[in-house]
Amino acid sequence: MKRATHENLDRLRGHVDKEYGKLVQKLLAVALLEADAKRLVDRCTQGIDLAFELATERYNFEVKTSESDSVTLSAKDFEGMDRLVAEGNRVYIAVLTEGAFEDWVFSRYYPGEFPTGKKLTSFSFRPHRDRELEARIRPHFDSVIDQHTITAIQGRQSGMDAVLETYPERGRA
Amino acid sequence: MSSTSSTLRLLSLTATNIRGFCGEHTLELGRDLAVIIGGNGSGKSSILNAIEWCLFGESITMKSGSGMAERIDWILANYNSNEDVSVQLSLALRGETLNITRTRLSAAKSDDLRIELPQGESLVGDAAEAWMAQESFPDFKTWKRSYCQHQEQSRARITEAKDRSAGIAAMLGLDGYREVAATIKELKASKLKAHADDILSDISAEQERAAGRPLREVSDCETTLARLGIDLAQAGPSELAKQQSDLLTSARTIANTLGVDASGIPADDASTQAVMDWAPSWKALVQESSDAARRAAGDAEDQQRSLKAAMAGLSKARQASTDANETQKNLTTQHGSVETLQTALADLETKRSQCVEAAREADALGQLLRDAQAVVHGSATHGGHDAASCPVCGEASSDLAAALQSRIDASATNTHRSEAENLVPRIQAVRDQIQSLTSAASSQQGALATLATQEDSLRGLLPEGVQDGASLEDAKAALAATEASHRKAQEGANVHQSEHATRIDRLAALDGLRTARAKVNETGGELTEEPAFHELQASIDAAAGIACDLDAIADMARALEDEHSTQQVDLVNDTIDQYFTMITGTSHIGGVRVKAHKTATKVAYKILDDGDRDITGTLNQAAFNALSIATLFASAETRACQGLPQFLLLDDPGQSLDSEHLTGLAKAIRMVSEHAQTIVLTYPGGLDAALTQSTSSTSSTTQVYNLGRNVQQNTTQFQEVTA
Repeated sequence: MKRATHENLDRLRGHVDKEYGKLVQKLLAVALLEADAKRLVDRCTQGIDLAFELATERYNFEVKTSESDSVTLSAKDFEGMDRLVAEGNRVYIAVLTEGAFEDWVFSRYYPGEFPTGKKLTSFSFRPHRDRELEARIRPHFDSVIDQHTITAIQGRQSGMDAVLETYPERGRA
Repeated sequence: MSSTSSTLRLLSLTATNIRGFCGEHTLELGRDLAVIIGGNGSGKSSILNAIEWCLFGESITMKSGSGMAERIDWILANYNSNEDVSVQLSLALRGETLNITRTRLSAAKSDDLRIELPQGESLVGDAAEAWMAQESFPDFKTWKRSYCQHQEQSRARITEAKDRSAGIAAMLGLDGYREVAATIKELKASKLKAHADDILSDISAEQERAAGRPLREVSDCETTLARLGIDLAQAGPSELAKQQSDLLTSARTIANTLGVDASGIPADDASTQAVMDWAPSWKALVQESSDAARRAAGDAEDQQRSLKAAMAGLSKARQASTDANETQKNLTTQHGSVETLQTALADLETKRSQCVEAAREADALGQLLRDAQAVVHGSATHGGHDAASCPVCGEASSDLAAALQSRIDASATNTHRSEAENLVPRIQAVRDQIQSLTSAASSQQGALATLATQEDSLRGLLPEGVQDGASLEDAKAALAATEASHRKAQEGANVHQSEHATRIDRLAALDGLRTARAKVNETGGELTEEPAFHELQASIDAAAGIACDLDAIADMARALEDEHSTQQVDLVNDTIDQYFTMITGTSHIGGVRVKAHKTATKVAYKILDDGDRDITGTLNQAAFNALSIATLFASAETRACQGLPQFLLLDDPGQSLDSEHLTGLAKAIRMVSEHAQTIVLTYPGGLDAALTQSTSSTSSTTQVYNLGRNVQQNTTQFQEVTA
């Protein structure tokens, strides 16, 4: 992640308070669409956060962002992910924590690997990260952040939804 | 449990100049049980200190974090000695003799550890430490839990969950699993993460340093922009362009307001650098123009004040002139002109002169008549003449005298004199009138001259552009307008100047931010794209993978410990209960047993009674001590049976125990000493009696020493009671 991206995320964090996580999720969704993701579904409430197709694979992303250096997975998160894995889906935890050199970690989720309700640093997600997928999305995320941070700050979630609406490949939740 | 000789046996202790030992003292040990009896200050604890220092060095102090609290300020060397300190332990390990010696030279602060192995090989320092670890010698923590009964550690063995669980795990022979888990904990993901963060932080710091701290510059610019009211989220190129445009527009407004030449203002499409280069000189020019406007406004104000004074003077002069004119006009109307009055004056003076002359002539005539009368009168009186007639004219004297009298009377009533006298005031009045008229004319001339002077003065005060013909009020209004104009220009300039300065600051901060960001991007923005950074990330990922594996191993170790503990617990429960019952007599709390329970991160152990209650919550002081010793003995017996190096050092184990308990304790000590060599340090009249009562039958396995104190030499003395 470029330093400018970090700066913009810091700025976003400073302006939007509790909406930060959802806005970053939507910014990631735009980055995925920019990376040619198809049939992307962005959920704000029930279910897995992001689902999309990329290069013939269907991915499910549980997005976890944090304003500190750690994230916490709730029992509800595990329940949803476990169910998807049991159904044969490819499930990832997309983690973005705060830190000078932190970047997205897309970690393949295997049931039973993480404790419930415990703070986990991005380090905990590294063993099963998909570096190839991260490398594919990273430049698009940098670009999206550069382009849409102000939209996110000013327009918040509805502003980002409007951006997402401009992509025909966006699916419906 | 069957009796088994321990693989480790302490043969002798040689203590030199340490704590209570002044000079060299050797205590022969080597039997199953050694009972060392001494009163307070006799040196019992010095024996304990010497053995522990020899085996563990500085670890036994609080300085290492795991030492004893009582040793927080301790001094190792004997109080009376300035010589080197040393302790040598002679040991039998698996039937062979070796010596462990620790020395502290008097001039040095650090210790030297030396091990002389049976084959003649010597190991020193780290090699000696490594050898001890390899031979399963305990570390100090394990020593405290499983080898030694410290007075201050007794309760902790039972009450401290960590110590209790570790001790019981060791007793169960499961401490290996715990060590694995503990080692892994030391290497846990969080520590690796912290290490990785340190590396990244170092990289970041180095990057900042190399780039001249651009991040700080970015931060400073952002702070400035926030202070100047610019939303940081918008502090990009478009905001920079907007601020630049605003700055140039404001410059043109100022130029228009102050009448400054605007030709130097850069064009809208000028580079920010060009604008920033121009801005300071423009700022100075605007300041100069603003000052000039302020001065001009002040001048116009002064001019207005002078004009006002001059106008007041002129008004007075005009009034004076009018008054003089009016006076002259009135006098002329009243008395005629000066010329007329002067003619009248001349006539009056002529007439007066004539009257005076006529009066004089009348006086002369009167005199003449009086003379004639006298003549007439004299002739008549003195004869010679005909008194009845005039000798000259012959007129009758009486008639002549009457006629003369009549003429004298007539001359006496001379009107010419009174007439001349009457003319004097009239002449004076005319003269006064002439004087008044002349004076009025003079006043009028003076007023006119003053008026002319005032008018000249006013003319000099007229502002440029005001025609001579314009009224003074017009001039005054023009001056007021000029002043107002300058004031407005100056005030406007002040406002614009302030805004302009802020705009320049904003532009400078935005430009600075852009430059700093560019610098960041040039020097560090792409760091994450560097191959080395990816390699570092891959290394951290690998470390995370290792951490994940370690966590799994730790889980496995815990699972194995949990699994084995269920098998081992039954075995050791009997041993603990046996020792506990032996010490306490008939157990009033029923049986004592260990129970393992697995938590998320470890396997912990509790000691329960028959009612499945946590026994630590029910015990009194004596029972605590008994349970602590029972656990220690069970641990020592179990470890010795497992072939691990084991002996016991008990420092006043009888504390808090009554005579019945002491008897039980003596039995227990005797029993555990059959499995692990035991050294008991105790005071006289307590446990020693219970122990020595039965020594006769076991003298071949027991040594008893009395400790004495040589006060003069300040040292401990040994006296072996049994051999």
